[in-house]
Amino acid sequence: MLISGCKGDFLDIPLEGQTEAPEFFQTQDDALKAVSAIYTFLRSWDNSAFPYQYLFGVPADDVEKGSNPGDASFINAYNNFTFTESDDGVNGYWNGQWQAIGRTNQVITNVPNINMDATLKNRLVAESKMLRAYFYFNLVRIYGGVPIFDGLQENYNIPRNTVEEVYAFIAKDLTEAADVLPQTYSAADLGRVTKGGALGLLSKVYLYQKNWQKAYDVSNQVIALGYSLDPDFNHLFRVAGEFGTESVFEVNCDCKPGFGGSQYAEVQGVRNLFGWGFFVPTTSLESAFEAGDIRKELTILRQGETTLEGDLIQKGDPLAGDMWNQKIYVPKSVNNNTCGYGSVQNIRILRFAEILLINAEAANELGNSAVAETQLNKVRKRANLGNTTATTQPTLRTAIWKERRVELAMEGDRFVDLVRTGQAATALASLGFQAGKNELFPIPLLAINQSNGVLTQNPGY
Amino acid sequence: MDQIESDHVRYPDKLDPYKNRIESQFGRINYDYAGKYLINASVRRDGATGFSSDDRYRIFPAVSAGWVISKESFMKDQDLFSFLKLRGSWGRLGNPNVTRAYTLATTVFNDGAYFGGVGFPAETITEVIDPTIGWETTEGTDFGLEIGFLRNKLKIEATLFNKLSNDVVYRINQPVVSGASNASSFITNAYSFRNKGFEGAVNYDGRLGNALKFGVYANITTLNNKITEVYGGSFNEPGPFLFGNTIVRLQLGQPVGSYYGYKVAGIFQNQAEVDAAPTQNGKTVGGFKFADLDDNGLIDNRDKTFLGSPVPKFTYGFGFNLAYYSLDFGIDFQGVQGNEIYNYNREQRFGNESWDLDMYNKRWHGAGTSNTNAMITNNQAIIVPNSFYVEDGSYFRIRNVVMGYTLPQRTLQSLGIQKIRFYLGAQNPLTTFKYNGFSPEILNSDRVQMGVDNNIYPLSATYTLGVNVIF
Repeated sequence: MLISGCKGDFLDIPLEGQTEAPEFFQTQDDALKAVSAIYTFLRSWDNSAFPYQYLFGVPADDVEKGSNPGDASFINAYNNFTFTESDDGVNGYWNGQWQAIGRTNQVITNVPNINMDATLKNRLVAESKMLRAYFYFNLVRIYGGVPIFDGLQENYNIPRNTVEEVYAFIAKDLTEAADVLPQTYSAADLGRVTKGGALGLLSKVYLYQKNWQKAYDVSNQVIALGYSLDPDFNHLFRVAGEFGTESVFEVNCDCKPGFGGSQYAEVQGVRNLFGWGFFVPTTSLESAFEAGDIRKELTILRQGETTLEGDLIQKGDPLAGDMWNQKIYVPKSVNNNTCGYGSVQNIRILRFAEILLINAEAANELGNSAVAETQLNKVRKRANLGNTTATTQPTLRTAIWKERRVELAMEGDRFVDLVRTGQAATALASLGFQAGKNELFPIPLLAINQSNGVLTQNPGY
Repeated sequence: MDQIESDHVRYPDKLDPYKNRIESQFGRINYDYAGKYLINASVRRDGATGFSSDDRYRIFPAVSAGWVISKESFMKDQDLFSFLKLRGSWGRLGNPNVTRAYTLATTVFNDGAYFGGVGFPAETITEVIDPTIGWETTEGTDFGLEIGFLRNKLKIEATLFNKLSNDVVYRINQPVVSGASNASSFITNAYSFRNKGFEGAVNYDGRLGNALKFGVYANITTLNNKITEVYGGSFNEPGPFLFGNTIVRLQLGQPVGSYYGYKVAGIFQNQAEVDAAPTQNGKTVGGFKFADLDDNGLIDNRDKTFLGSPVPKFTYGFGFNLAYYSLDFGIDFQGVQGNEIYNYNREQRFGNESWDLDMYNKRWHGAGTSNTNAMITNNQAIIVPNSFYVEDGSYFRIRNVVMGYTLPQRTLQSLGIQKIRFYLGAQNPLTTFKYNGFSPEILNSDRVQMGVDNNIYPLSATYTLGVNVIF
């Protein structure tokens, strides 16, 4: 019998040419990089281009597939509510959001143990909590209750939490984040989430929960932070208007060597002139604007028009439609095509105009129609419209909903707003929406299979 | 002492950061008492980089014993058995050839984040690992009987075996909600299974007169394969994926590699049939009609079922050889019975690549043309795992046939040559099978997808004409 004389570490071989995971999350630099890994997801394909549009865009009555009829025709399944639990789009969005939540949890679990500047450490954890809340808010609106993972887990195969539990978790994250996050950053940190961003998102979360008092109180907190509407609705959406007075939560996009761009604007850009021409305004949206509303022609970019910036809009594909989303329009003069059309266009996730409308809606539901009218009229005034004629609670409610539609058009709110306000069944019936089913999208079949049935499907799928 | 360092290649085109080493010590004792009682015991200690430090070294013992009854004095007076032996063995072994998966690297995101219009590098951990991944082991027990009759001209061997493969290291699906980028290739101790069976062999060497010598043999092995443990408790569906659908399900009580999918109930012949059928994703005239197993009017995941397994019921072989003066002849037959092959080639090429002739000829191309084969289409709703792709994998083969002629010795002696033999041989000249692929012998090295025919190259037939010369 032989006795081993070997050293115990003979079998320990370090990885070559890569950072071993246990060696990461040791320094301040690691913490900063790990938080950047969350931000980079905000402008990813899943979160800002196709999958996002399948769920937040196309199902609404304001957006349709666009491009030319034959291109990516599978997207029509989202317009007509014929998608299934096996559909790639449902699956892609789901996977992406969970990857993003995984990145937030890496920071939330690991960064507190790093020996580094305490203020920065707290801020980075708070940024991650705000972003985790944002991803969960996306998931809960699209899929309903989902499993809650507060930090990294040993076991991820757990049943879905309820919608209420998920909202409570989101609210907790946002409240904790708002306590720590600064309201402003130096120019070098512009694009990091702020206190106002966390509170703004929180007021929207309360709106979805119909917790009117809290939605009202928190939106008032946001208003008190000193935001104001950009007086120029065109400037608001141009590169020059980025991080302006109205910006509450905005993703910084650019095109710098080695860092790439975003396809958010490219997929929507005028077909074969600027971009791919997908996710275009419908005639239903076109007719939703009141006469004299300046937002109409600043939201819809038309074939043949010449923009204020001097670009003549001539599509390069005769089979394409004649209307595109103007809010993502990047004039030729400021475009940097190195990373694709529109790669420099920031993604506006939350604007102060919406905070005013949240405040108005909550106030109206609380019976405070005076405040509701005041806030609503601020938004209307910027659009060159007169004061609302609505005065009663029900008429104001409808007026605010309608204002949300035209103010936030093409910004990913219409479908979830219709579901939230109970209008989806009537507004979307002609598109194929089935009440009791299509308020939520199916949990992807793959996810259900992989869970060995621990995850359950939404009703009707 | 034996130390082996192997550079295990995982990414053929890149530097492999995951090196593996194996370290072993080994000891053995043999005991033989008068050729009657035989005992062999061994023990080895193995360590491998592939396992977490919690379970890096294991000790693997093995013992076997034999009793040659025919050598006992009480057997002296009988002449029925010329040889009789009872034997049994038990042993444990570890498999160190696993992918190193308990350590992982961080992921660097090349696109980084922008703050204030300036790029900032991004890096984090995106994978999940099993930090406690441990040894994959096998534990085998067998009992056997060896009998020789007629001065060992007739030999019979029979063995019962029971082999447990425990904690097999394999990549499986981890819940996607973990956010892990390797959610579909999470490497862990994924499953355990049992292989039970019987092995029998008969061999007879005889002579007819002085000139004709002959030998015949036959053997058979039966197999009963069953999963005894699986990650997640009851089942897991690892790849391969085709349009998001998995083919194989590992489930307790089922054979390893069993196919899981829809049962084809026919082909939709016309629109009326389509309209009358249960709700089914992408149902169309000329497409597969799936069986609604739970009878709820909806074809979904709950209608999937086990469609077959790659594990044969039994394998067998037989053959004979003859020598008549200077001529010799030998032939070996071999066969496999009762396994199923998943014709993934057909599935993935359904739409727009090449099809085999049988698939083309039998395709549905109008009402009444086929109720088994669908039309050729690239409709991904049709191309989902189903019973159409599961085929009988049984085969029977002439493994080897050889004929020889040896020149008479006396003509050679003067040349200083001992022997010259001319021969004509064929390997695998004939295989009979029903399977619609190149070869029923799949030889897929993946231990779960072993029955999935994914571009398997056929076995070649070899014909030889040769001369043996011995000086």
